[in-house]
Amino acid sequence: MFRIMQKEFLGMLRDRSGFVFSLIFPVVLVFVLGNMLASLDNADAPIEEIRLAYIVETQNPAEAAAIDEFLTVMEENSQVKLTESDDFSVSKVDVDKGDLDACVVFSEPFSVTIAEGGDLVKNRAVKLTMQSFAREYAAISVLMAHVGVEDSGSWAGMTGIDGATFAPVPSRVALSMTELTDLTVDKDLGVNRSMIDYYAVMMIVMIVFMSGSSIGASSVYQSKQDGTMRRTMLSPVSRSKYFASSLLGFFPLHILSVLCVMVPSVLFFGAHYANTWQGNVLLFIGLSVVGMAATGVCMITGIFMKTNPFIPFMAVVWVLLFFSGTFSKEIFITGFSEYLPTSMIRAAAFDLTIFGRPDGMILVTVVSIGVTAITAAIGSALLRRKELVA
Amino acid sequence: MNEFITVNNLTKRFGELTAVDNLSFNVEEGEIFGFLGPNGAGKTTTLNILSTLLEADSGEVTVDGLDLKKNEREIKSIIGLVPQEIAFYKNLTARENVTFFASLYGLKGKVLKEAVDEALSFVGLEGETKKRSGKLSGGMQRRLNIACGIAHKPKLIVMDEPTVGVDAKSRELIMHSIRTLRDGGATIIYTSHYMPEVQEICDRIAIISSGRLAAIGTETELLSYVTNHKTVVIETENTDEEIFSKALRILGTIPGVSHSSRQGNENIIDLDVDLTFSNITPILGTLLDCGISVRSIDSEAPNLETTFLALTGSELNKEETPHV
Repeated sequence: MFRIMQKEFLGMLRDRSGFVFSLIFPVVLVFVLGNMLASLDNADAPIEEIRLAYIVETQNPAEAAAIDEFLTVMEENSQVKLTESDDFSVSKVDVDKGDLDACVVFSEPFSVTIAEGGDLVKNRAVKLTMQSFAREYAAISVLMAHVGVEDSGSWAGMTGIDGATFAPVPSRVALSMTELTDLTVDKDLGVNRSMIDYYAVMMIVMIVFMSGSSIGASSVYQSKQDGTMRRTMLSPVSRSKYFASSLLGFFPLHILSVLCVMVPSVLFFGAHYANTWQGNVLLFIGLSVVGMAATGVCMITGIFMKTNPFIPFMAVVWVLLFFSGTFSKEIFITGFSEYLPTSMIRAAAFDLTIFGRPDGMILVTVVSIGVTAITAAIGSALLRRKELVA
Repeated sequence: MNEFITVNNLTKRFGELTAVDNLSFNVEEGEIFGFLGPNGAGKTTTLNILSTLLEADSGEVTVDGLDLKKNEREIKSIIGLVPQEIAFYKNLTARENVTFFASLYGLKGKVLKEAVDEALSFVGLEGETKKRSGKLSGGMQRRLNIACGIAHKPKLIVMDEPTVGVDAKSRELIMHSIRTLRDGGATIIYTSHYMPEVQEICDRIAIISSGRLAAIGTETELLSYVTNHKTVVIETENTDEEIFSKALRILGTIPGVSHSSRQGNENIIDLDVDLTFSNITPILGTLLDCGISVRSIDSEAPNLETTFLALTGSELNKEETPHV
């Protein structure tokens, strides 16, 4: 089994197209995009003016008072033009048209929703400001809870916010400082992120699909074409062992592919992935296994193909990536794109890296392992059909 | 010698096409068995069935006393395949390739290493072990193709045109290797489109046509199936038509000569004579008596090529239909 795995790994590593697709292409992509995005991130254009609509939906007096105070402070900044709105959908249309830069909704329990415009620098400024306010509010709430102030009346005096009446602190916020940390991490809506963080995740998803497909497509087809499969099938090695070992032999290559994006993007462009090492390990393994699943599916189809499946597979992968909005978010078709595997995997990866929610990535990993196992079983069964091999 | 392979009433169909039709033959232990047939005759299908790569629709096959259907795994472990195509991994080195294929037969550690060294040395590639296989010359690739098929020391070696496209030196080396393998006790099934090779190396030959056995036996036996004649070709000086006619009439009466004819309007006479005919004195005497001067005289004995043509209606190296 080891010999078969070793053969597949070495063979693909030494294959020019496999090497380029799996290892060179990801590194080149990281450097090209990294340099492009770095210049975007460091744009020195002045913000000039931010036209911001706001809607205060919360009925909680303490929250409303805090928001009011916050907006007052903001209005003192001459660059911020605030407009109160009572209809989110109307403001959203104005944002989309470019008449507004963003629209912010303050909801109960305390949360801030931002409808972004098209200016990335202004978006980040608005996000940063809102995030700071959200964190400050949460921190004060926790502090009040720890000093035993649960009575809304006594809170007002301590905070000195114009005698506003505060509602009891929500229990989920008031438990401990650990929870405070979790809260701020959960509400990291991207203010500490750079563009490379987003694109690096998209790149990995793209790479695992592309290299996974190309490896799977060419391996079985090539073995059939050059007669090595016939020769291997003549040996006493069971066909299920052969197929499973071949598939497993590609795993190190997928690991290297993912590393080829993650390592240079972190080292040279300061990319951030998940906030914890466990999250990064999950992301790393999950995406490597996605590559395995893609390889397994393509290996099976390679058994039937009579022409080199590399080009049709690449076309399918490009279509998947295209309609899942990889190349432009404008192409994302609601009701369709989100159900494409590329979209779902990318969403799960973003969920983990940006919001710290691992559930989606765990599901992707489990499903990918399942798909890999199923393809191994189907592949083995197909190889037992002698007419397909001889 | 013992029968190493017995094939009885073997039949294989692909849809409407009957690729192998009630085929029966046997292969003796330790012989080089030539397996010939025009393209589409069913020889690749038969070889695939014998090497467990395909299942027959009906018929019985035993290899080394083992029933093919019941003992597939055991039979696989004693077969080595040298396919027509260069069937190894071009991105691996010669040593890595042989090691990989030998390891599929359960060889490990020191035994594996020794077997690999022996196989590479056997085909004369001991100096090229670290070279990527795809970078080797055509002849070396052919030899490596053999090494990959024999490293595990199989009792039965199926060689499907192992010398296609090789230079004279490599061909000679391969021929020598095959004889050495036979002398070492291996049974070899050998196919080729190059008839002199088959005549040179095979102990017995089977010719199949349209999935059926057309003939089987030693080279001499096969020749006798088709003809017991050979042709004597005589080139003469310019002679007029009347003298030629007279000479042909007299030549046809010589004992042992069954037929005499002129090649068109050429100054060449063809005589069909018995295989044992060797005394040309009466022929030369007749020609001189008729006033015909002889430039050259040659004898063309029937060969396997003509026998094959007679049995199958097709030339061996003629590309007609794809392999079946």
